[in-house]
Amino acid sequence: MRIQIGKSRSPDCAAAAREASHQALRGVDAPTFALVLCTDQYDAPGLASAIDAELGQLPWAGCCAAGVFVGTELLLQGLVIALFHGDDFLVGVGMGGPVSVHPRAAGRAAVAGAVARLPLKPPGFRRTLFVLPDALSGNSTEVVRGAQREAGAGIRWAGGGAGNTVPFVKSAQFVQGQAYEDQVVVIAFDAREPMGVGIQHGWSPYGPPSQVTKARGSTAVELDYERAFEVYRHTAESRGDALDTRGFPRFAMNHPLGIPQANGEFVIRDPLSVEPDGSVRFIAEVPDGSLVRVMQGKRTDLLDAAAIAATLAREATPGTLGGAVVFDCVSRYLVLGDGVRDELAAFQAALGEGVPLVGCLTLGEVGAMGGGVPQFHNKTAVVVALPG
Amino acid sequence: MVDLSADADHKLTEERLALLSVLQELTVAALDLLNPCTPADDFLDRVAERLGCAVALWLQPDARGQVGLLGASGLSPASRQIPIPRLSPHPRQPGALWVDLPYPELASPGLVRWSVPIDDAGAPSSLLLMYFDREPHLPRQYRGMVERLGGVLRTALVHRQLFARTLDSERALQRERDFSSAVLDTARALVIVLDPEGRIVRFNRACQEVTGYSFEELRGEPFWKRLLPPDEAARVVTHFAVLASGRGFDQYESDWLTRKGERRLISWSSNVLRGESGAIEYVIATGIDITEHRRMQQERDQTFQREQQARARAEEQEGRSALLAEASGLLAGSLAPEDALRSVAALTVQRFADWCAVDLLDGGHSFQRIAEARSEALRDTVPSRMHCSLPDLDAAHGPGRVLRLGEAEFCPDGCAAMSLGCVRDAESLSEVVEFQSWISVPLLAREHALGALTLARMRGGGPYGPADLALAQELARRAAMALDNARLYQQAQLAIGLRDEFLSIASHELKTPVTSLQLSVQGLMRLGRTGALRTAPVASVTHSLEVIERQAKRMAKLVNTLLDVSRIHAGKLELEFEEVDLAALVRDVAARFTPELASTGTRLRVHAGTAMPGVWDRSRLDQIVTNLLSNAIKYGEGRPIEVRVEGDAEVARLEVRDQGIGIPAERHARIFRAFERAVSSRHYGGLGLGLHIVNQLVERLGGSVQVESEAGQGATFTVELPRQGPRAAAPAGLGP
Repeated sequence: MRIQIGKSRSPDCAAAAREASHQALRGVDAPTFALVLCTDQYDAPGLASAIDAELGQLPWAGCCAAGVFVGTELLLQGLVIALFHGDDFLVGVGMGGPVSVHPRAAGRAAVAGAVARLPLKPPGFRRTLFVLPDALSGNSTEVVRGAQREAGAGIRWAGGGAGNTVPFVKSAQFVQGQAYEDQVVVIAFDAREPMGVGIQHGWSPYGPPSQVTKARGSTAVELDYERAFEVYRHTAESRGDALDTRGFPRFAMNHPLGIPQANGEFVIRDPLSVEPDGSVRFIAEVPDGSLVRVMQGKRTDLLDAAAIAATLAREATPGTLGGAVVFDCVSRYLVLGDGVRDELAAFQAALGEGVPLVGCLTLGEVGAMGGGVPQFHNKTAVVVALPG
Repeated sequence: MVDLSADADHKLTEERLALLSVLQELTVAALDLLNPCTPADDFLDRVAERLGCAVALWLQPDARGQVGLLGASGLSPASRQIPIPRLSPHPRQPGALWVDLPYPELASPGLVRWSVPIDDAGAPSSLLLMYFDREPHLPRQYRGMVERLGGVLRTALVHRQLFARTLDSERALQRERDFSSAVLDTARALVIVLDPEGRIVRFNRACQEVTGYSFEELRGEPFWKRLLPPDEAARVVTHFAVLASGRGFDQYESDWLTRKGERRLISWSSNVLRGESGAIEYVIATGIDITEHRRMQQERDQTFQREQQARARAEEQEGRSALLAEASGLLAGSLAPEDALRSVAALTVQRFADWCAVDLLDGGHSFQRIAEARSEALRDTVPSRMHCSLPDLDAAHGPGRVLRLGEAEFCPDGCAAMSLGCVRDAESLSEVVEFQSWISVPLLAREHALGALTLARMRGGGPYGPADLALAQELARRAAMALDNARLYQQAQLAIGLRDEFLSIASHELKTPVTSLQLSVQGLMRLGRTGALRTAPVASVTHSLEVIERQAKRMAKLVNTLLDVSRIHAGKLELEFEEVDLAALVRDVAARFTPELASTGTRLRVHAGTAMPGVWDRSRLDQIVTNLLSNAIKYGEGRPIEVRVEGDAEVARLEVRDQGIGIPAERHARIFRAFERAVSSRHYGGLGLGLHIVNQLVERLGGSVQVESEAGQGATFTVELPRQGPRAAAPAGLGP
C-alpha cells in the first residue's frame, strides 16, 4: 500500500481538483482509492463534482477540514488528494446519518455500509477504519460508539471530525462524488499488513481533580456541585489568573479537561463556551460521575506528543511505510500557531523523511488510546502509518 | 537534580486519582444498570473505554447451564447472533465450569483476559470478562478495582433483576389490569368498585355510557353524591353501610341519576373484597340497567291487567246480559208479576246478590214485600235464624226511602247495612247482618214507582260498581214494565168485562123500551090492517101512543146518556156558562120528579129556600141534580130523601141524602167510574153511568163530588161547586 499525494492551493474548485488529481495520479498505474481533504473555502458540491470528473471511476471519500497538509506544508486554503495504490489492501466506503438525530445509529450504518462494500476479508488481513463524522452537527462520541458497536473488536481506529476553523460552522463529507452535511463517512481498509496507529496529545493534569456531578451530553453543568465555569475560575485563580466568561475561550484553549484512563492516559475534552447558566460546553461528551482534571500543555510537550504518536504508529507498522495519514486537532494549531509546522516536522521526522504524509486539522479525533476500544478525543494527534 | 521521590509520589497520586476516577465513573455508570430497560452494552462500552480493553462481556448462566449474554462491548452484530454453548467442566480446574466462547473477536492472538465473577444469590454466578489486546499496563490496584466493580455489578444485577421482576410484575399486573379493564369495559354490565367509604375507585365504560360521566369526573367521589337521586340517597347509603360492614344486601335495586337528570333503574349484585387482614378493602357492585326491562314489564303487566279487566268486564257484562235475559224471560213469561218477581229474586241471588228483596206499593202509602231471597253463601254465613224487617217509609236510607221517593240508592262499599233491616239471632242480642255493598232501585213504570228492588252483597263477593247499579236499574225497569203490563192487562181484562156487562145492560135497557114500543106499534098496526083502528076506542089508541112516546123518550134518554159519556170521553162536551140559581134549579128538578116520587111513595124534602146563584152550565147542572135525585129514588127503597142546597160566597154545596141500600165502603171508588155500579143490574136497571157522568160534569165545572155511605145505611152525595166557575179560567169545553 502506497499513497501518492497531490495538492493545490487554487481557490477554484475545478482548478484545484485538476491540479491536485493530476499530481496524485502522475505515475500511478492502478490506483485503488483516493482520500480527499480540503479546506472550507470551496463550494463543497462543486468541488465534489470537479474531483469526481478528474478521478473518473476511482472510489474516493473525504471531508472538509480547518486546514490540510502535505508533509510539513500546511495549507489553510487548498485541496489535497492522497491516492492509495497497491495490491495488498482492499477498501470500502460507507456513510450514515443524520448524526444530529441518531448519532449512534449513524456510526453503525456507516461502518455497516463500508464493510458491506469490502470483498470477503482475505485471511490474515487486518482491518482499519477511518471515521470522519460531522463534528459540528452531533455527538461524535456516540457516533464512534455506534461504529465500534457495529465493527466489533480487533480493529484499528483512526479519524477526525470534519469541520472548519473558528467559528466552527461549516462542514462537508464526501462520498462517491457527492458532498454531504450532518453525516459520518467511514472508510474501511483490509490490509495484508496492519496499519499502525499512534495517538498522543501531550497534555498533563494539574491541580486537584473535580468530579462531574452533573452532565448533559457534551455539557458539564456542574463540577464538584458547582457551576462548571466556577471550577475553571478557581483553577485560574490558583494560577494567579483572573477569569471571566469573555476571557474563557482563550483560557480554555490552553486548559482542557482530561478524563483519566486506567492506563494513566487522559482523554481530552476541549471546552467551547460558557453557557448563560455557568455550565461549560465541550466538543465531546463529558461522562457523568467521572473525576476530571484541568489539563495544561507546554509547547514542547505537544510537539513531543506529536513525535511520540508518529513513532508509535511507525513502530506498529511492519516494514517500510507506504505513507502516513495524520488527523491533528485544529486546536493544537490554534495553541501552537506557526509552531504547528514544527509539529508537522515532528510527525515527518518520526515517520521518516520521504514517507508521503498527508493530513488535516480536525475537530476532534478518533482513536484507541493505548489500545482497546476507540474513543473520540480532543486536542490530540492521531497518526496512521501505512504499511508499504 | 531530579527529585525521584517526589516524582514517585506524584505518579502514585496520579495513579490513585485515575483509579478513583475510573471507579467513580464506572460506579456511576453502573447505576444505569439498575434499570433493566437500559442495555448493559452501554456500561460495558464505558468499561472498555476506561480500562482500554478490546472486548468486554457480561455472561449470565442459568440454572440449567445455558449461558446468556447480558451485555457486550466489542462484539459485532453478527457475533452477537452466535449461540453460546452450555457450561461444561473446566478441562484443567476440577469442579469449575467453563465455556468456550465462539466469537471471532476473541480469536486474535495475544488477547489477555480478565475474568471477574459476579456472585449473586443464584448459582452459578455471572461473569465479567475483559479482553485486552496485550497485557495491559495497569497499576496492580486495578485488579482489586475490577473485583470491587464486580461487587457493584452484583448489587446492580440483583437490583436489576429485582427491578426487572418488579417491572415484569408491574407489566403483568398492568396487563391484568388492562385485561380486567378491557373485560370490564367490554362487559355490558355496569361495574363499579368502591372503597369502604363509598368512594369510587373503578367505573367501567358501561357506567360511563349509562351516566354520561367519565371515570375521571367521578374518581374518588362518594357514589351517592353524584349518582343517586336525593330521595334514594339515604336508603342506598344505609344499604351500603350494611354491605361495607360485610353483612347482607348483596342484591338490591336503586335508581341512578344521569348527567342529564334521567333516572335509570339498576339491579345490583354486590360483593366485598377483603385484604390479607380480613378487613374489607373494596366493595364491588355489578349492575344491569333494567329501566327499559322494568318499563316493558310494567307495560306488559298493565296490558295483562287491562286484558284481564276487560275479560272480567266482558264476563260480568255477559253475566249481566244473561241475568237480564233470563229475568226478562221470567218476567215476560208470566201474567202473574208477583210470581215472576219472586223467580227473579231467586235468580238474582244465584248470580248477582247474596240477598234480594222486592217490595211493591199497593196504590196508597202501603206496600207489600212479595219476595225475599238469600244466596247459599248467605245462608252458610248466617246459619242461625235471620229475619229482615219491612222497610220503614220514613227511613233516611234503604228501600223505605226508595219506595218513598222513587229514587235509587247505591251503597258501593262499607255503608251501614242497618238500612236493610236484616238481623240474625245472636247469643243474647240480635245482630245486624253486615253487607259490604247494596243497591236499592225503584220499580218505575210510566214515571210511577211501583215498588223497589233491593240487592245486597256480602264481603268477599266484591262491592257493587256503577255497572252493577246500571244492571239493577235495568232489571228494575224490566220488572216494573212487566209488573205494569200485567196490571194493565188485568185492568184491561176488567174493563173488557165491564164493557161486556155494560153492553149487555145497555142492550137490555134499550131492548125493554123497544119491545114495549114494538108491542104498542104492532097493536096499532094490527088495528090498522083489520080496519079496527077506526073503530078502536080513543083511550086505547091514546094509551098506546102514550106508551110509544114514553118508550121513545126513554130510548132518547138512554141514547143521550151514551152520547154524553161518549162526548166526555172524547173531550167534546161543550159547556155554556151562565148565571144559574142552584136552589131554583133544584126546586124545578124536584118538581119534575113528582110523578116518580109518587109512584114509589117516596117523600122528598128540598131545603133550597135560599137562592144560590153561580156561573154554571144550566143543562149540565140540571143533569147533575137529576142523576143524583134519580139515583136516590132508585136505591132509596121508598124512604125519605133530603135535598139540601147550601153554600158560602165561594162554593155552593148540594147534598142529596137517601136512606136506601147504601154502598159498601170498598166500592166507593168504583161507583164514579164508567160502567161501574155498586149493585147488580139484575135488581136495579139503568146503564150505571149516572154517577160517572155526575163526577165528570162536576169536575168540568171545577167542583168535586163525595159519597158517604155504608151498606144498608143509605148514602149521602155531596157536590161542591165554585160559584165563579172552574178555576184557572179554563176555557169551557176543553177536555179533562
